[in-house]
Order: sequence, then structure tokens, then C-alpha cells
Amino acid sequence: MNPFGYSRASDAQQAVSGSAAKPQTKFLGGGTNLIDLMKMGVETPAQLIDITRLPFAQVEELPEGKGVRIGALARNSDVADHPLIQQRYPVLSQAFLAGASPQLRNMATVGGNLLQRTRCYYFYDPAFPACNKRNPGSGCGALEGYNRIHAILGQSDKCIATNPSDMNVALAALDAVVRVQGAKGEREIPLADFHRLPGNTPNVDTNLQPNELITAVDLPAMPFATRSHYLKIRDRASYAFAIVSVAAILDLRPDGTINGARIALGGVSHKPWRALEAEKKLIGQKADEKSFRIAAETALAGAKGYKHNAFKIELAKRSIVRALQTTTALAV
Amino acid sequence: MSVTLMGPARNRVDGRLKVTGAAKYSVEFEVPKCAYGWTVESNIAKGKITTIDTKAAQALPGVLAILTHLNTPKFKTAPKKEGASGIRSEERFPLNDDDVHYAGQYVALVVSETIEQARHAASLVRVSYAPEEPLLTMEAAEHKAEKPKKNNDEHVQIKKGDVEAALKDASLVKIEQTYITPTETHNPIEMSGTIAVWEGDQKLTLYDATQFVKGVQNILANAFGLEIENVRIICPFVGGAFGCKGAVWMHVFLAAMAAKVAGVPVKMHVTRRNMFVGTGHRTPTRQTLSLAATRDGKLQAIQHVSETLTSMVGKFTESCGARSTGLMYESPAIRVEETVYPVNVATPTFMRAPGECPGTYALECAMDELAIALKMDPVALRLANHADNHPTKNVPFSAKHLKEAYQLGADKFGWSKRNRDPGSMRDGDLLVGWGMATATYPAHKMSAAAKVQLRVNGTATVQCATHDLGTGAYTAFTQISSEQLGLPFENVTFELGKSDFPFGPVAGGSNSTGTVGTAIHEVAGLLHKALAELAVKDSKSPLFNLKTDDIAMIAPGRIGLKADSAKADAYVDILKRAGKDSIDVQSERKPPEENKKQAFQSWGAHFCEVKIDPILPRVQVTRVVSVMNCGRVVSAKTARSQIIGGVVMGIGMALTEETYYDPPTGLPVTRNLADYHVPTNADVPEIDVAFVGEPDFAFNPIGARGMGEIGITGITAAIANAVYHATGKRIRDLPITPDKLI
Amino acid sequence: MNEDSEPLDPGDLPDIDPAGALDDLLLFGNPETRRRFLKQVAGTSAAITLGPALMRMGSAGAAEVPAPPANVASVGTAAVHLKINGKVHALEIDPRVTLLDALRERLNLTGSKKGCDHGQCGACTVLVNGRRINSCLSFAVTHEGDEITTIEGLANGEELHPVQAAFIEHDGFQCGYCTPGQICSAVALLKEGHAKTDSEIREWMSGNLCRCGAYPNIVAAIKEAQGKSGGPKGA
Repeated sequence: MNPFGYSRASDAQQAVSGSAAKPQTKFLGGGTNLIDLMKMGVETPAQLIDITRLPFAQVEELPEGKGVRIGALARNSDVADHPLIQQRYPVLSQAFLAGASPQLRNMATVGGNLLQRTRCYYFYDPAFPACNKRNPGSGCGALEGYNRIHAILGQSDKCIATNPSDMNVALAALDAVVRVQGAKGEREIPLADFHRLPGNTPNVDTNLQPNELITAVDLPAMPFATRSHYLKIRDRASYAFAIVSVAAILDLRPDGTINGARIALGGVSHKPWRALEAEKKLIGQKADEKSFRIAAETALAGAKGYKHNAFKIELAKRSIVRALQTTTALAV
Repeated sequence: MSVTLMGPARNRVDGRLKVTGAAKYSVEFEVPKCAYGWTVESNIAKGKITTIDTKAAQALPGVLAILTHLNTPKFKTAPKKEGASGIRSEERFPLNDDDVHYAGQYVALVVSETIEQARHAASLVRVSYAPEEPLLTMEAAEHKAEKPKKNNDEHVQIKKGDVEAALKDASLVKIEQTYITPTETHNPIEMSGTIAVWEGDQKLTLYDATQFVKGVQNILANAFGLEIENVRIICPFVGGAFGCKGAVWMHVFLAAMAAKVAGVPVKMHVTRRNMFVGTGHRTPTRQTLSLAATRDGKLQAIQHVSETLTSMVGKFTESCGARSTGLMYESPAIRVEETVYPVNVATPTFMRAPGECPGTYALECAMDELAIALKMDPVALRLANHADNHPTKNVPFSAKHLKEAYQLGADKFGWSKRNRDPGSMRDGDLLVGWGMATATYPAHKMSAAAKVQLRVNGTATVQCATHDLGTGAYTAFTQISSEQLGLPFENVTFELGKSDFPFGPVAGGSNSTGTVGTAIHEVAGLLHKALAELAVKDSKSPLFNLKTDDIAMIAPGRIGLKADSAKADAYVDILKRAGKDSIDVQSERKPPEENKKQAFQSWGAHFCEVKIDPILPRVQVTRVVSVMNCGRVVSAKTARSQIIGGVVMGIGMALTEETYYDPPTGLPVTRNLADYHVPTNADVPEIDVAFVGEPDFAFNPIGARGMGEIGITGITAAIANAVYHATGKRIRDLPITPDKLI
Repeated sequence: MNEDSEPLDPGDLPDIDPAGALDDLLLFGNPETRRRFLKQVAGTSAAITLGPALMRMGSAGAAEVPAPPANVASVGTAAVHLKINGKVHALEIDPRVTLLDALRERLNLTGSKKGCDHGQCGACTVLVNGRRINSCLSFAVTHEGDEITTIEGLANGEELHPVQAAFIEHDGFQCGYCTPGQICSAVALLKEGHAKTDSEIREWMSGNLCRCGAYPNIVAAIKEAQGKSGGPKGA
């Protein structure tokens, strides 16, 4: 871990201008991912600006029934426990609780979770020579290496890493909007546009601009999101990253047919993967296994597996069906 | 004194220290002005170091020294002294040449004032290599394959009867299958570590996390050319080991060398990442089992062919079949074969039940497959082939109660309610599988000595250079000391973990309780004799002028005439009248007595239940019953914990654990505790442990055969068999992750 | 980084490497640093108990603690007051020092364990403002003003915390190395109110790995402690 300058920001503007004043500045929130990567020598910031004392930790209703705003510094555990989230967006609460451990959830912030970097072995450990994400142009060690945890959707031949966050998957399904503050003021980034596919620049995870500070995540009002579920498949019973996960939300009509659906997948792509085509296939259909299976096939139509992760394609399909079944069966 | 199977259920004597954070583990000793070592590792698996650029690192503040093969003084290799011991898993010293033998090998060491400086400086050391093509797999190393004759004096290539004939006999029911286990890594939660402190250039103290203080002492004395008395090893607590702290690994030599050349104490705490390379692992295995049995289930042939890896710089071999298949079941024909392939991977080492653990996995899965082929109950098949005598040595097993273990385990588990058909049992939508397997582990015996001080206030301290790895040794030895000395439990203190104490062997092979217990038994006899010698010379003693040979402990705290216990004297009275505050006696280390008329082996039976979602098939173990036959259970609480611990590690081996190596570089890929999945609390169900049998006094005077390792034997097979029963899918390569069942 | 600004008086100290012999060994360390460090070692054998860093450090009572600065501009070291188990420690440290390393290497509070240093095992779990966190993934300088409780601060004098006592009674550990983290985690869990069933305890204790496999006994200990402390909220 290289030496860095440390300072504590007293307001957002100071954080942003402090960041702009020195190259290679990172904001320090919960630190659970950043400090880990600094110890590994993957992240090498010259300056850390501690933003944990900024007043962005609240979870509050937006006026005029527009939804809920989650401060970027709200801790994962607090958001998971918050009645507004548990009651209106249970899929998000479940996603938080499926992630990491109670200790890490007490530390990790919502903003940091948005920026969580991949768990690809070849990215995480600089002993591996090839990683285009860590060292552009060096190649992808995972393509021909051990790729059990890697992507099956939206990857490129430059990078097959996945986004490891559970929260992001739920946020994708909930059409969340990320609010950021930069030198030129505030702007909003829809979650769908926040994370990037790897393409030829896998070193760039997100569309956040340099020196921009995430201040909040807005969840638009989605009354039917009370019928939602997060399903996570992992290798051990707890405290493990997803092999595949599904955030599912169903808007059911009184006759039981589907008015609308939101499906997002985790563990399968460089970004939380929203299955828009699959959602469309469900509209007007009966909420049954047959239509869920069609949706699942649609969602994975473009999937491509590698030596160790081809199983994810079938697992993802089954997980979509199961998540939709569980969601349908909820008493809400 | 009558001795029952089960000793008392004491709380750990070191419990309070452990729950308050006061127990000091090796790198936690406070050493003034201690510097920190941080290693640089090779990222190629084979080749030569061409250049090492340390300029950027050495310019950093706080850096005290950077050791490389270019500047590190040569280690000495003095001849081994008589009776000296110790284990070296690598037959080389670190940083003594430019050769790279495996990925992750230490190629430089930075010594700095703080951890933060050392870690950063190490990241700036630039090493260039001339890489060569490494051998990384059995296939690649085919031409280097060896068939070792022996492993630690035990024959590992075993042949009895005509195996070929039975395997060709068309009238017999046969099974032949190959089973794969991956590389597994011990991962005790305490990472290995050492603080090295020199006093001048002839005296060295190491606070070292080790299973063998006397071994470290001897090997370090040889490596630095020191008098053995001038090397002190201190290790009162070990934060788990499971075999990976048995040998002296490279970081120990490095810490001592760094402290010597930098002139300051040096602390090295091995990183978790390096625990996957520098402190050993369980080698991957490929095992082919061939079984032939009559239609009523009598085995006619058992063949166990195993292939394993070892490194280019050590000879450790995992003998899978010899001490499992070689003695588990009665059969007229038994063959065990073992082939070892040296590869450019770091050196493997003992990991909980080395050999027996993967060996019983393969054998007990094959037995399950045979039971299915025979349409026989798996317990009935095992009972039909029970070995009263050692199948190849033809001597009876001592105090073997395996049949009772099967019976009690089956009763507790409710085995009779099992529907034999795969996929037939359900809990709602979940598939339910019930599986069982036999556990076995040899009873090992080594040598030890002990020292006791009895004080006039009736308290005593017993010392031996043994170890508590979490095994409960402090508690068990306090209990044995209390019983053997004849003093109340509360009056006895047992001390261990210092090379200053009388010899204790490596805490491995489940030998400690019996071996050190025997030494305590001997020193207690010596104490009673010393007290008798005082008493017979004391005219005020009821034992005055009697022969000491006729005197023994006749009741707690008292020695007396064996023939007439009315003539007796109390320890404290003897000391008081003799005007002594205390009396010290020490036993001698002797080679263990060999008994060739019997075979000594521990046994057990595991029964387990798994539940599996048929669509999203992750295996959850929901119930385990383990019944063990290990001779006497000295310390009931800690013994139960030992068996539970073995079962839990077996759950990991069966379902989640694998150290995967990157094919081109040979670097471990799953090299941390996020990617290498040891079981979490949520992976582990209630585990019902019971013991059967009797004290095995033919084995040693304590009657204990040890139980650190037997718990992990067989359990992986029981789980794999349960998975088959639940799903009808036989997974023959561990771990059984969801992708294999989908 | 981390240089001691107070020069040592060379007159008081024996020069243990007067001829620079160690430099001749081609040990590439910074010769100035090493000489200074060696002199310190030679001169301070009895007094130094606070670990190796060349830093100014002391302990102060709570009343003496200055108000935390709102904005700590830092060059090489940063000032922080760590309130640990009720006692305030004023440190001037490298900002790279994690809370765990501050406890273990600077303050000799070695009860909090390093089991992975990457937030993957839970051995380093401590309570910060009553909440359990992994101290290995948190920089010490960020904890100005926080109430930190470590395993050393749980017992009330000789009287063990009910969770500590229950761990002994149920043999909720073997080697003991993950134990402080398990106990801190369990204390927080009882307060969080997530220990209503066995499976809930298992899930909410899964951030603390135990390689010895004491899990069933840990669950039993937590259940007992919960009973003794009057239910989920009473810990």
C-alpha cells in the first residue's frame, strides 16, 4: 500500500474540490473494498478524502410520493433494516442481507457498493500478469484460465469479469437513479447507465466522471415492488459472492396475469444485468412456470459460457424461474 | 482405580485466557523495537532469477534491510545430532540461490520499521526471471513418477493374495471407479508467524506458531550453527494448525536470518495469501478403487491405486491407501499402490489425517457403490466385511468396537427408516439423502518426557514441551496429571509450548494425548518413588524402614504400602517433615514400547443427512451422527469438540473447498478466504457425537488412542454417499459444488 | 513518512554498528534509517512498550482530549484519538495503519486477531459505537471520537460478560484464535435482535469463520447467553 495523503471533508463541495486539486484522489467511505484493494496493490490512490462524516446517511421519503432517497453514506445494514426499504422495496433489503457479512454490512456504504470492483482472481492479485482491467493492454488471464465465477452476458474478449454487488442487482430492477455531485454541480445517472460493459476499456467500470461524488440513490415510486424477491445462489450457505443472483419484481393484475415485470441478474455480467426482453415477454402472460421459462430462455439467449462457467447459463435460467415463482407466491 | 471410558467434562483450563483476549499467540509477544518482515514472491513456477532491483524499495523511509539471494548469508547444515528431531518440508533454505521451484516462492524479504512500510517497500522490489517450462500436472510429470516403498517407515505398496484373479472372476460383483480430490489448504485462522530475537550472535529466541517446539529448536540450531540450549522456542498457544505448523517453513528461517543481519528483532506474520503457498497444503489425489465381492457381499478383492503430487523441493507424500484400505476390511486379496509425481508447485504437507482422509473418501464411496450394486444396505455390507484381525498383519485389533459404533450410530440416526432408492426421500420440495461411512485412523505412539514439581501446599506444576493447537491439550493433560499424581484438578497446573521443557513430540498424528499422557504417568511414578524414599528414611513416617518398591500411590495425595493400605503417608506431610518446600522430578524420554501382538487403530461411523433443492442444487448438510471408538476419552468436552471439528472440516472438503491453480502460471487462484470456501456457521448443522468402547490399556497406560484426526476420515464419503442417495448422481470429484449437480 | 522529529542524543547511546559493517553485508536498507533504528534499540530496551513505529504516542484521560479537527490535512502522519474500552489514546500515525494494526502493533491490544487482513474471516471484529465491524478494513485515523470496544473491554473486572462465560461453558472454541471476533460478533448480534432461531444465529454469525469447527457450540453458547441476558434486546 503506497503512502497517501489523508484528509477529512467537512462538506461535499470541499470533497469535490479537494479531489479535483490532486490527481489520483479517492473518496474513502466504508473502505471495505478500497482498503482491501489498496492492500493488494491494485488501488494506489495518492490521496484519500474521508467522506464518512458528510451528512449523506439518511433514508427518507421523496416529496409528492416520488419514492425514497438513500444517502450515499447510508450503511448497507441500516438500509436493509429501514422500514421504508423493507416495506416498499423488499428486494433491496433482501439483496443487502444476502451480501457479505453483518460486520461488512455495518461498514459498507451504498455509494461504495455502487463502485465495488470485480472479484475476478486475475484482477485482484497483481501476481497475475494479465488483466486488462488492472493493467490495460496486458490481456485477460481469465479467458483461458480459471473462469468459474466469470461473465456469460455482455462480456468482451478483453474482459469477462463480473460485478460482484448484490445491491446493484436490486437497484437495477428498481430503476434506481444515482445522484452525483461534481465541480459543475449535480447530475443524475440512471442505474442502467451507471455501470459499463467492458468492451475495449474494461479498466473503466462506471460512467462516473473523475472527481464526481455520489451523494444519493433515488428509488422511484414502484408500488408493485412490494411483490419482489432476491434469490442468490452461492457455493456455501453464507458469506460468499453470488454465482448467479436474480432480483425479481412482478406487477400482477387481479386475474393473476402479469401487468409488468422487472428482472435483473447478478454474477453473470460486468454490470447488473437487466433482462428487458424477458420482462416484455411476460407482459400479459399468466404467472406460471411456462411463461417464466420462456422469459428465462429469452434472458439468456445471448449468453456465452467458458470452460468453467458454462453451467451458469442453465443455473441462471432456473434461478429466474424460481425467483419469479417465489415472487408470485408472495402474500402482499 | 477404575477408569471409565469417558473422563470428566471439564471446561478448558485456558478458556478464560481465550475468551478475554489474554492468550498470547506467537506474533503477539511484546518485543521492544521489533521490525517487520514482508516477503516478495515469485510469479513464475520454474526458472532462474536474473535481476533484482531493490533501489526504489531501499530508498523508502523505514527500510532496514532487503534480503535477496545475492546478499543473504548461507545457512549452515550441521549434521543432525543423535536423537535430534524436527521436520523440514522443503529440503532447501530460502534465498540461498537463484532457482525458482514453484510460483509464490519467496525471492526477497524486506525488513522495515512498520508493517505499512515493509508491505509498500516489498511491492517496489522488481524481480526479473528467465522462466522455464514448469511441470504442473500428473500428466506433465509422468516421466518423473515414483513409487515410494515406505512413508515414515510404513510400507505403502501392499500386496496380499491374488487381486487380479478376483477382479477377473465373472461370478463376482465388481466396482471400479476413480475418485478425485482437489488441493486443499489448512487455513487455520491464526496465520503462521514468528518473532526472532537474537541476544548477541549465539543466542536465538523464536516466538513461533508451531506444532513442534523441539523440532524448531533443533532445526534452527543446525541452520545457524548454534548450541541447542541457546535456541529457545516459545509457543504457549497455537491458533489452529491441522498440520501446516508441523514443519519448519521458509518464513521461520527468514525471520531468524533477517533478525541476525538487521540486528533487530524481526516479526514475520505470514499473509493469508502466502498461507496457500508457503505453509503447505493437501495434495490433490486421483484414486482408483476396484472391489470384487460375492453376491452375499463378502469382499474377495480390494485394490486401491492412488496418484498424488509432491514438490520438486520436498518429498512429502500423501499415502492414501496404506492405512485405510490396507486394514479396513477383511478380504483374501488386497493391493494398495501409490504413485507420486513431483511438480513445480509448493510443497504439500500433512493436513488432518494425511492419507487416511482422502483414502477413506475413495474407499467408502466405492463401498457405497458396491452396496448399491449388491442391493445391500451399506451398513450391512460393512458388517459383513468387518476385520477382527489386521487384514495384512494377521494380529488382532486391540479394543476395537466398530460394530457397536455402527449400531449406535444407526440407532441414533434412525437409519432403519431409510428408503434405499435414490431420490425417494423428500422434505417438501427438497431432496433428502442419507449416507454413511466408516472412519478410521491409526493409533500413533511417540516418545516424551515430563517434569513435575510438587509443593508443600499440595499444588503441582507439570511441564512438557508439547502443544495445544486447540485440541484441549492443556485441559486433558491437567486431568491426566491430576489423576496420575493423585492431586485435585484445581491444584495442578500443566505447562507446555516451551523448548525449555522436557521433550514433547510433534503435535501430529493424534499422538499427543497418549504419548505425553504416558510421560505424565511415568513422572508421577517417579514422584511417588521420590516421596517414598523420603518417607522410608523418616522415623516419624508410618512408612519408615519399609521398601520403596512395596510403596505406591494408594489414594489421592497419599502413598502407602501396596499390600496394606493402612500404612500410608500424605505427600504434604512427607515434605513438611523433610523440611522441603517442594520436590522436583523429571522422567527420561524413552522409545515407545512396541507391541507386535496386537494392532492399534481407532474406528468410527458417520451417518449424515443432506438436503438438496433439485432445481438449484446446493448441498446442505442437515444432520450428522458420529460415533467414535478411540479408546479412552480423557476429556469429554474437548474430545467431542475435536470430533465435531473433524466433521466440519470434512463438510468443507466434501462441498466447498478447493485450491485451484492457474493453468499457465501455476499460481493459486483461490488464494484467500473469500475464494477458498471454508464452511461458515450456516453450513454446519447440529452434530451428535458419541463414543463407544473401553480404555485401550494394551496401547498405553492412559488407554487413549487420540482423536484429533479421525473425525475427518470417512465423513466426506458419508456426505458424497448422501448426495447420491438424494439425487441419484454419483459425484466422484470433490468438492460437490452446485455446477456438478445441475 | 513517519520520521521521528525529535533527534536522539547520540551521546547516550552505544553505536552498535560503528563501522557500518551491516552496510558491507550489502543489505540494501536505508543506512541512515537503520543506524537510527539500531541506536534506538540499543538505548531504549526497558522503556519502550508501544511497538516499533517511530511515533509520538501517549495516553490521555478523556477530559484532556482536544476537540477533533474538522479537517485533518495530512502529510506523512495524522493525529487521532482512539477511545478504546473507555480509555483515550492519542496517536500520531501513518494513515495507512488499520484500526486492527493500531490495536495489535501500537497499543499491544492483541486480543483482536488478524486472520486474513482482508475482511474475509471476522477474527478482527470489534465494536465501534456498539456496532460490529472488521477492524482490518478500517483506517485508524478515521476513528476520531468513536467508542471502540475490543474483547479486552467486555468483562466487568473479574466478571466475564455473559457471552464470554457461555463460550467457556459450551466449549465454543478450540484454538481460541477466532474467539475474540466470535464473541464481539455475538455480543453485537444479541443487541441487533437477530438471534431468534438457531438458523438465524448461524446466518448472522457467518461473518466469523472458525476453522476448528466450533460452530455448533458457538450457537449453543449464544442461545444460553441470550437467555441469561433476558432476551434478544438485553445483551
